[in-house]
Amino acid sequence: MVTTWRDGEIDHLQLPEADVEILPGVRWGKFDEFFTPAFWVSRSWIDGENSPHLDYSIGRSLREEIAACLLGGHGMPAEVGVAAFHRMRDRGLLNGTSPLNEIENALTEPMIIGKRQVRYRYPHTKSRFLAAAMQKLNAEPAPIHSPLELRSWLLTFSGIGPKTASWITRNTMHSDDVAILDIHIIRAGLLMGLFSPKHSIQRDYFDMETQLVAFARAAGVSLSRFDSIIWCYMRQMNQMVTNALATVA
Amino acid sequence: MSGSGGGSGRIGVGGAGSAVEGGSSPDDCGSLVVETTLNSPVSAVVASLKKGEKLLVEIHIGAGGVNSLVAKNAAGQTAGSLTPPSLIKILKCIENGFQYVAVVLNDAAGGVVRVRIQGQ
Repeated sequence: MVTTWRDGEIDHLQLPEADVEILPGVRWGKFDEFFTPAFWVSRSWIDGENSPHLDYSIGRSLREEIAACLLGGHGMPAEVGVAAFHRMRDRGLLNGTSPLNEIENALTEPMIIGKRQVRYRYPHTKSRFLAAAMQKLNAEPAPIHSPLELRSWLLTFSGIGPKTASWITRNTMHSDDVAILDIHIIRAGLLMGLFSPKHSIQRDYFDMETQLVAFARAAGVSLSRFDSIIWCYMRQMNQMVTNALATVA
Repeated sequence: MSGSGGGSGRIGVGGAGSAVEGGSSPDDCGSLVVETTLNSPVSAVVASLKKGEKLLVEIHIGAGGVNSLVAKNAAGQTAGSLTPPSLIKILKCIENGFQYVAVVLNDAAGGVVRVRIQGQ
């Protein structure tokens, strides 16, 4: 049983025994051993509803979220993508009518992050993706009645693959039906035994997503919330994650 | 795992530009005080704990490289595990050389042991 001290009293969470399977072939593990399924479920419970880990939306609308997510990823530090998005928004370049060269120039100009001057990677390619996406939003109604339909629609955008489409969908609709399979979530899935080293994200994205959705349902947690907590921990426990991954066959 | 590289890039505004739980600078580490409970208590060790006793907080590396955060008595015996709300921050501070103790806050007889994690 997990206990924690919350609001001046002891709170309890009963989890299944460590050797019980949460899904076929995936055991709960011990909640106090890092990176087990039980660890993640207990972290979600301990950190509670007010956790800063749950504040994941970047933009204030679908349009802004598409721009923010499209400008992130591809191995660049998260802060650079967010800075690029803020610049586009602050300069009014997300209306779908701004000239392409203005968008590209804005992405090419150096950005100040902290005390460092950094350059945005791929300004040429990303400015084209962004301009096309903003134009498409002006031309087509977004299917915002269904998370899976929204994601399918986003997959028709140039430069948006399953991960980015799922990221936008989660951030705007808080959906538990999609998984954002980035490096941190994939590593967490490997350490839990949910994914296999033989999985290929290009080939198996939706199979891996199905597994993660099933896992969250079996654990009784919201995937959107769960994903966000796992991501924050995995990102910051980098050295321990690397050491633990070395033991995964 | 093939094709899983490429980093992430996503971030929530709550944590944009910084570690979500804050940094692990000496000031951040030194000011951290958190009350929590002792989990997975080792009854033989817990039975002899006294209110006010200081337990050493350590990252335990077990079989297969599995890690946990534990509290040990002066004899080096593990009293139980720690799963505090500020787990990441504590881990990062310990990795950076900071040391914490868990001060026992109640008499343990039969119940849950409460501790306060603070700088040594």
